[in-house]
Amino acid sequence: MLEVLARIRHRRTRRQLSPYLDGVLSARESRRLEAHLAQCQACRDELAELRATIQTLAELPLADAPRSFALTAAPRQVEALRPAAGRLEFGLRLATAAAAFVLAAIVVSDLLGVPAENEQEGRMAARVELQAAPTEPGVAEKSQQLPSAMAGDNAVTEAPTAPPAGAGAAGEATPVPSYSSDFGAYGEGEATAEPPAGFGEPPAANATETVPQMAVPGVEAGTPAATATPPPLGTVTIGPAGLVYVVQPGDTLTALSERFDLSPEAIAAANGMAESQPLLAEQELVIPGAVYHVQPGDTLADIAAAFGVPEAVIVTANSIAAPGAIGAGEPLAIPGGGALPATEAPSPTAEQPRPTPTAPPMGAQIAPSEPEQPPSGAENQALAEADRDSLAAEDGGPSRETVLRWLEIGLGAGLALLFVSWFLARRRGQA
Amino acid sequence: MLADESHLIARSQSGDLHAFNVLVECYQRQVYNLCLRLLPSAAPAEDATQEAFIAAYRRIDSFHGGNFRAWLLRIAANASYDELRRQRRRPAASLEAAMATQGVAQAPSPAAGPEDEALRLELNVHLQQGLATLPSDQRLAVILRDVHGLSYEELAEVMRCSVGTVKSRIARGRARMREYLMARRELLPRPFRLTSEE
Repeated sequence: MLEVLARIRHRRTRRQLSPYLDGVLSARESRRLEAHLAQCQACRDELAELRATIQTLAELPLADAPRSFALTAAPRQVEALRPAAGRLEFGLRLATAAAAFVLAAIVVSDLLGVPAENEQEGRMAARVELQAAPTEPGVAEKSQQLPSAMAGDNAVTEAPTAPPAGAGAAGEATPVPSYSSDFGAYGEGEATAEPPAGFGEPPAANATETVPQMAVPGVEAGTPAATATPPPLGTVTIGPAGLVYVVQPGDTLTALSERFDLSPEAIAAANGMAESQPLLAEQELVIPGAVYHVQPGDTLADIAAAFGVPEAVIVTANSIAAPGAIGAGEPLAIPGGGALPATEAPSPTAEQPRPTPTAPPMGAQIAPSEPEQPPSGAENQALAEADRDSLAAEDGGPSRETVLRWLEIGLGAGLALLFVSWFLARRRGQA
Repeated sequence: MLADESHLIARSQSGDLHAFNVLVECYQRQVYNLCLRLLPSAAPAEDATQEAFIAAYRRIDSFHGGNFRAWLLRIAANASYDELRRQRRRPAASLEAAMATQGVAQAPSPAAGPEDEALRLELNVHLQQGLATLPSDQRLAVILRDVHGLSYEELAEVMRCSVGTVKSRIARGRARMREYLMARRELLPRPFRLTSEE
């Protein structure tokens, strides 16, 4: 037992011989070492040999420099490179730090998941919501019934599958006042005051049927919109019943139809009036179309293309000052816009089911049944991908996916830079 | 002297080549000898020394006070390792061939007699070969401590490690050197034998 202890002490002593000779041991360590040396011949011998070795090394004469190593000229060119390398290293370190920060930010935001939830819901809502009112069966019925009923009443020979023509023909034949009163009922909720005279039974039934649905929101939202906050000149407001245009003095149906790229028949039919009927100022016109909530990264051109509507129409309808001035989440009135195709990507197959802008309101109103089932998660993802890829260049505000993608790229680059800088540092450390 | 040195360094940092060359003259002997110990022969040591001073001039801006000698010797050690790598890439100048010429490269000391001179050269060769057997960090530690007489703190600065690490590197390096020299005791010149037999 004592022998083991002695051997341990001996080994420790041997390690301490070198610092002992340099006088860098603490006083306590030195005393202990000297005590051991006093009773250990092997350690005394080793100490002596070590001392001799050190002495020999110390006596090694320094050779004289064979020549002067003074620099004859400043190594200018490479000198300029050095600070650049230093800056590069600084940049690498900065990038590394930024990458680490970004990683932390991603992790934290993912853990909290705050913006993700809301945005996802908003997106879904935008895909589904086109026109709230037309999705109700009563209104869809009305719009379908109206042309056929009129065609039947007036014995028009045109095929009922061509509603614009049918509606136009019917409009010419029917007395003007009945339409205006019908419209009045529609817009101001006085449906029961004056029943439509020129119409047969079906339209009348339809009018009374739709009034409870249309009139109530019309009173709630339509009237304040007209009185309290008059919309800016010539813009389309988004009412509960769809797109509403408040007629300005001097507006004609033809001018409006040109402005919104719709046929006059379509507008007339949407409002149950004749094409020839003059427009009254302050009159509220229903404009067939859709409401689209701007998604992050959307551009006007893309929205226009998706709905198959000229960009200029959206600009005038919404009084957009600058094409880039559409913000995410902002509802856009799309006159003549039908339901969005299942995928926004403008592929020929996707365009097939999309209603043409000249289609009667029926087109826009029936269509919402189609996207009622919300896009699946994968589809949604694909949409987001398509949005981002096509719109990344000129988006109003980058979508969360875009930001995440860039963060990922930055993170990857940062890690690569970290590796490079580590490698450089290691090489320099070796050198 | 110290104030003078920092003044020279400051002037070198502002691009004064003449001031820097004064520093070169001051330290070239130490730098050259370190390179000579780390490298197998005089010619690459000379190259490494020159490289070290060029590098020092380029990097003089990165010297922010502290021990200039330690800073310079660190650069010299790095330059020597660079030179060693270059040597290894050229197999023609092999280590042993270079070793053979080592003794010749040593500058003779005019004061010593011919016998002493022979002994010194012999010892020199043995020490150099012994140092060559050490791992590079132990070799650098032993050379800087025992040949150049740097303190443990200076060594820590040169090797960028803790004083404790310096201590252990020196201890191990010396122990190896002791074993190497003891194994060749009979080959060594008389002074060493006398010392060790005390």
